[in-house]
Amino acid sequence: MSSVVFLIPFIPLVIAALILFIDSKKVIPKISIFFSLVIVGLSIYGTYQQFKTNQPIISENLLLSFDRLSSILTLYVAILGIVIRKYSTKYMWDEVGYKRFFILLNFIFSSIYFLLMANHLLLIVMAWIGLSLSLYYLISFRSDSKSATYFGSITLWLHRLGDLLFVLAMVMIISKHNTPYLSDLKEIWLSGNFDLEWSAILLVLAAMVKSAVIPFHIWLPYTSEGPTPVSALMHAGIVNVGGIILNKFAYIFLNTEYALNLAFIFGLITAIVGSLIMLTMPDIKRALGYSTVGQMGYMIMEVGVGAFSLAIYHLMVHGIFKATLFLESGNAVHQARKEPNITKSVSYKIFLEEENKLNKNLNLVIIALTTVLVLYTVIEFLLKQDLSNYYAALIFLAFGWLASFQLFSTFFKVSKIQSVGIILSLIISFSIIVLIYSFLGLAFEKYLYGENYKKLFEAANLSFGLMVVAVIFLLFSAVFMWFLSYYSTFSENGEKIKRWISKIYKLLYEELYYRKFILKLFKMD
Amino acid sequence: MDIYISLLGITLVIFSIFSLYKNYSFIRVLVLYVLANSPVFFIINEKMYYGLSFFTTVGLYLVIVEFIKKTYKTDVFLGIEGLVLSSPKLSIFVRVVLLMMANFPPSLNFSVVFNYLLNSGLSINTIYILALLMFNFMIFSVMTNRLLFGKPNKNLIYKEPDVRYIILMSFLSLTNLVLGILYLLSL
Repeated sequence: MSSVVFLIPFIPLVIAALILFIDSKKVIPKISIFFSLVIVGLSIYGTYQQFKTNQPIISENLLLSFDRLSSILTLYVAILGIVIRKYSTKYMWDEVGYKRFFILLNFIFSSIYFLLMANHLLLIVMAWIGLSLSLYYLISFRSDSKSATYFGSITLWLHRLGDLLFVLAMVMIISKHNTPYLSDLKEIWLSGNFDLEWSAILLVLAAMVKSAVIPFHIWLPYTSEGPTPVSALMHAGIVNVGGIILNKFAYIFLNTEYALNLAFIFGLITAIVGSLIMLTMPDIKRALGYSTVGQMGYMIMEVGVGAFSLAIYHLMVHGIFKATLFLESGNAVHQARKEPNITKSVSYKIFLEEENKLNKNLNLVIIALTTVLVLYTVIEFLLKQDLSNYYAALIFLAFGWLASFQLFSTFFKVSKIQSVGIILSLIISFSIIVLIYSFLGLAFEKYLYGENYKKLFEAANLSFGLMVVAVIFLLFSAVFMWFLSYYSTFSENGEKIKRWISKIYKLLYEELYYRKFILKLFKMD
Repeated sequence: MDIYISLLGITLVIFSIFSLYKNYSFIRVLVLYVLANSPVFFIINEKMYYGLSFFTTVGLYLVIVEFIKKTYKTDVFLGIEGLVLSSPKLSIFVRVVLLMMANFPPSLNFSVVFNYLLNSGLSINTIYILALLMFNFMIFSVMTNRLLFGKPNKNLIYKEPDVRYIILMSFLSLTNLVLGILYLLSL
């Protein structure tokens, strides 16, 4: 009975096949949403079975497996799928190729489910490549737009590179262990001591391509010309695949020395550079694109320090947040153009119109909440043993700073006047991170990896010195950004500083000239 | 023996990559594809499956080219861009044949070649197959951009294939795709 969950990756294919024979625009989304609800039901059932039996469900032919990682992520993807399909129903109504859009959307969801549930390496490769292909078709959906198809091509070429790296990693793994089944490989990696350095490095590089980590990031910010639901799916689902695959193969890193350090270094660079470039971007979709690049840097960095489950938590939370932003971005653009006939969204009312209505009582509540949160944070640090294990405290301190830094910079750009509010938000956000980490993060760790999570932290091989350097580097970046934003806005004097700042600003605005290089490479300049 | 075949294969792939550059003839592209891919037949274990994938791909390609030649009186893929918007039915089959040529899933070409690649271990054959995959992908990329995407040509009257063509194309496509899926399920 529990094998009914293996229908999940096939259901979107069935939907696509059904849509092929339906011409009514009203029926297409209804069918799509109805079957997506079935997937949600099956995911919930699978998760229930996980809790009940505490064992992964593996298909008879060993091709598919529904484990703890899939139990969390299939549900997440299924819910995301319903939201995107519902949104697309009206949004895509007048577009040429309504039917084609829904078919492609279902193909991409099928690839994601296969990737989550595949147990045979060939099936994982199939899903990995299928994802690149479906993404390409969706990005190039407006096939008569030259820029959409060109950036679609760049995306596909980069992803093809990622595919080859991934395939090579799989070839090396199979030739080493002579088994294509991930369930067997996990046991082997947990028990033995093998030299899998190169396979793991190739895997990290492939994940970096899919997750748009620098220097493979250029495909993400420039592919927003596709329909908005596609952008939402891309930023909430596709880019996370890097983190998902690293989690799926997490135990390989128990047999490596440097692969996770590589992920940490590239993740760190991406987190900072991505966030800095985001602040200089003139249009909302590209800014959101670079914001995602920065967030993916955090995610890969989390994997790099051994906090695999934290990366899963991060990708889900970021996915929900970024999908919302994208689905709202169209509204924001309309508001900015001050079109009178469009109704105002809830977020617009809250953040822009009601900003001045904050009264003293509310400020008092915020201050009280902040005090409680800060006190709780201090107690967590001092008393909880879990947080001092395996540099966990340092890890989330670093991530606290990183997240706060990005929040800080973003808030500063949105509202330059409310500095006190921003500093309060910064402290609250950091305290919330501690709070969430100590409850959800650790719960995730235990649910996904049991006691093995300690081994993963040890495999990260991260020295205390390196962590301190990273934290100082992040602090420096935050202060530097504040300096940059403040002087560019308020300073009347200091012409030399201003000129210097404008040079850096230009460098960031030009995306470190990387975009021009890529366009030249693909002969698009 | 395999080493010599793979070395020959690598040479043919390099030659084909250079020849593909600015080559817009349907038949020449097919010749290059056959030239670069045929050595696989001699190194792969599952010759029957590979043969089937190869012949269905070449067959479908030839049927599509025959239709285009008959309809547009041309044997090059220039000037008939924008098929996705102007001839949706034909564009589905063009997409399918290009996916098959570039070894994309779930075609039989993907299943057979990737299964061989994963299980062959690291050798000169791996390099040949990886180079071949890049070449096949180049064909996919060039023809997708030239034929499927872009604005439809205003000076051209686009036509969809008639029932006979559709039945033939569907048969070849479905044979390849269904066998590809069955192959995966039989692993």
